[in-house]
Amino acid sequence: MRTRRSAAAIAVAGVLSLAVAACGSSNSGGGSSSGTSGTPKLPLKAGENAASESITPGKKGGTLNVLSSEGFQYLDPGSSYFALDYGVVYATQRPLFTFMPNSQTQLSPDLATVIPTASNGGITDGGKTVTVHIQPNVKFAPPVNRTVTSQDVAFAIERMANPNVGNGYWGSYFQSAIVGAASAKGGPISGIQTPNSTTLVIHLTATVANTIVQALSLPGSAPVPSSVVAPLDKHAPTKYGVTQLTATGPYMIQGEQNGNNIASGYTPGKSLTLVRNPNWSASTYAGPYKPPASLNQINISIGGSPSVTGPQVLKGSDMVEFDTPTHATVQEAYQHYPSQITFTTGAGDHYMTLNNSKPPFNNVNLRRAVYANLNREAIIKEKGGALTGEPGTHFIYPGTAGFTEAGGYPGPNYPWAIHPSGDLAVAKQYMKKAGYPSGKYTGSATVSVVASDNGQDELAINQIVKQDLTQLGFKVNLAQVDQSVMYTKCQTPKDEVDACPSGGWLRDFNDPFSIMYPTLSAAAITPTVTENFGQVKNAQLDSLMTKAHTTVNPTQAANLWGQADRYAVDQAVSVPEDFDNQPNVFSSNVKWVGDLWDEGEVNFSYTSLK
Amino acid sequence: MSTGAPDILLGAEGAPSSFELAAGEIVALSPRQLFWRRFRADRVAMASAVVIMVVVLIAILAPVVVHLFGLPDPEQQNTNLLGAFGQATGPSGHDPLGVDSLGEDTLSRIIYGIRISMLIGVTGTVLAALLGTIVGLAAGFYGRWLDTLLMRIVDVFLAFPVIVLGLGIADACSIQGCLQIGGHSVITPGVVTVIFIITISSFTYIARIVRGQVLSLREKEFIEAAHSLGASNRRILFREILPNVTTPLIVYSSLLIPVNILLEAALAFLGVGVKPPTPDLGAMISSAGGDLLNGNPAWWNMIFPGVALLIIVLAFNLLGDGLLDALNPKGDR
Repeated sequence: MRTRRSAAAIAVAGVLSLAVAACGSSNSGGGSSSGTSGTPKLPLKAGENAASESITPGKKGGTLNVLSSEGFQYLDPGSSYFALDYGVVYATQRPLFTFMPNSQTQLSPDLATVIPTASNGGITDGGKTVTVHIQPNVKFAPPVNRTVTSQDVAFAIERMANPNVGNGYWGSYFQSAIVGAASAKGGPISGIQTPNSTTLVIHLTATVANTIVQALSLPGSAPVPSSVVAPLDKHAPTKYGVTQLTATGPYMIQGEQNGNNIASGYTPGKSLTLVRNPNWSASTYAGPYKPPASLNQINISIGGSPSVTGPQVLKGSDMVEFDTPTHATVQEAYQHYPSQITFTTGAGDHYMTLNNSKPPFNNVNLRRAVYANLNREAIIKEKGGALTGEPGTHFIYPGTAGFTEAGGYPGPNYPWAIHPSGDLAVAKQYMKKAGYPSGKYTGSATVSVVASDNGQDELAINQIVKQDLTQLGFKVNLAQVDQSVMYTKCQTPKDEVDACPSGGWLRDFNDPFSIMYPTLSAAAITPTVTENFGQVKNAQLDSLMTKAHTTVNPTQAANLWGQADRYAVDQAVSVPEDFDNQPNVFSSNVKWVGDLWDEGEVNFSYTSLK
Repeated sequence: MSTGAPDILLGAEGAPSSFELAAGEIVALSPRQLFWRRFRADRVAMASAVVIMVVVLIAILAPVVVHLFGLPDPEQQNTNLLGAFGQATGPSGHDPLGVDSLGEDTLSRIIYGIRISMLIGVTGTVLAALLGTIVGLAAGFYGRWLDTLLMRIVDVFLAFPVIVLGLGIADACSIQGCLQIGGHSVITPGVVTVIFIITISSFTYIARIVRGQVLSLREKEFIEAAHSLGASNRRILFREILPNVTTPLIVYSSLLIPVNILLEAALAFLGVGVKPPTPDLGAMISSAGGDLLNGNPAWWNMIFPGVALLIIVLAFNLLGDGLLDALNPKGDR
């Protein structure tokens, strides 16, 4: 799971279908419409949905000013795992593949020449071997200046296993999947071969080629020059990306050409300046991803409050807000600057985990009762209203393969799952089935709920959760703590937390594996830490997920993931809260293009000035 | 009780009608009569007393008051009352003082919030007065090593910044409670924790005042006389000394109540006091502040609880001043 931008992460569902329905309507608003789940909707106007964005560039040249309250975590492509960092990393680096900015599903070659498939010979051995050919004329930025080779890509992938690099997804997607990678620490891996300077062959331990191809769209597959990086990787943590960096993308950090030293263009916590990479060429893309790189320069200012920067961006020019805008900014933009805000669907989800491994929530009917009574509509109201989310109805969120197969926006048609505003009567039925004839919990257990106190939204949601549990007779011990403490508590099995509301998840790529497996599989549970907060150990669910993961045919795989998702709802292993929409705001003269697959984060390579 | 001679009232202008006297007649008034005469003449203190009585009635009868006004329960969430963007909405016919970010009625929460403020402020002060009196009596009367020990403990408590001490205790006790005995927490999270904080941070002042009074009183002739007559220490402490420290105790406690109400509000404002959904004036102001930072200036959730807090604290302060004047007219302010 990538780290989200702070402020409530927001995501979408329903808005997509709404926007389609709204296409062609006037900007004057008008009557309200309804989402597929019955959520009252504000009138959406054409152009407000990022899914309909045009990626045709505006004028060539100009400087874009970006305002961000948060700083960057890692600019090293091997370490980067933060939505905000991705904005810079994808502008300065070229992974093997990249998702089209206006799509959540369309993978495009970036450094590679083509997407490997079984039909083009890129996926062979029944899905256990992936062969990637890279563009022959891509060069590293100055002062390295040499041509990128497949060995540079292999080195980049191998260094993800280096503990000093601290890659956040190596263990999830590569470590057990690539032959010889299980015990790798940054050195050569036997399953990664480079028969020539433009070919990379990856041997897999199972038929998981589809997932690996998608995972190679992550920044870690971007080539890095070992002559520069290897000495820096000897430091713990690596110093690559801190003081030195080498670009392959359309932009580089100012000053990089001076011995790869980025100090003159990047002051952590204050500012970052991107300038053109003189060695970059638009002709080195196979397409459809072909960034126009219209902007001459991008100045990113770090610091300041989103409540201040949001209005500045809306009323100013040449500006983009990097943060999640505040509710007030969203409201102002929606009402007065409708052409300067977009909402990106499929920007993650939130859910409440219930501890499946111990009483009281090891009882499936108790979990169903909680599921039935949770007022998801109220939760969305607290997040900023209908524009910023849709009630969660299952676990694979919009824009991801398997979402439609699992039931789309309405979700699986189980009695406990079909009332987004909560239904106490249905909940009481399941309380009775769980052995509580009065419809209320009469056991002795006190339900421990650990929740984040970061922000008014979360504090309010915690109260909604508490009220909904209390209505079912549970005695609730709600601990509201800092978000990092909440995650630590919920990730630690021995702490035996009963419920963790508002856990957020952001997929890494368009594969349901990256949503469901880390959060719901027994294999994800270790004695010390797990992303499976609810400690779900369901053999049938594991079997369904494994089957889906190892199915090579994408259509069949999506169907199997849909089955697994529906089964997870049947077992009420957790309670989905919402599918998030991410708003983004920008100045009126900015031809904004956001990466739909990355919360709508601005894509500097495609964004331009009007 | 030995309290010395009653004041002598000479017939004078402004004397109350019940004490109408012939010219030159001299009447003795009890201390209580004197107190009441002086206090009744202080209109501000009287008005404050009336306000406090109303506040106390509201606190005690909060459910009835809320029902009379046709208001929803203070913890009843109704997000349908929020704006389209999830923002709290202002005063309306349905909710006279608006609603908060969960759609809870602000007036209803203020009424119940007053109840919590009074409960914590008064209970905390009473417990602090009790503890402070015991410590002060023991230290002042027995002196020597016990005095040294108790006063150094008091010094230690005084050395801590109250808010920081409160934050620490409240945070430590916020999940499991504190002082586990037999598997149960004596100090449970929420109201009990806040009362505990108030008690241990306030008793020190009262202990010092009481000790000072006792040190002075124990040298008085009537104490010597009691000793001479063979009175036990317990009798001297509780029948001779304690009644004589009552006046400063009442005055100081009345002034301590608003301080403690503010301390409770401050702790709630900082997020470590009474926990939601329990209505609390400080927490309401804090929550409104959070909304403001989020770009949603729900002024009604800040102003109205603030005004309620202001009225309560001001009334108690003015009442305390009135009591001080009435009970100790020669004392310095």
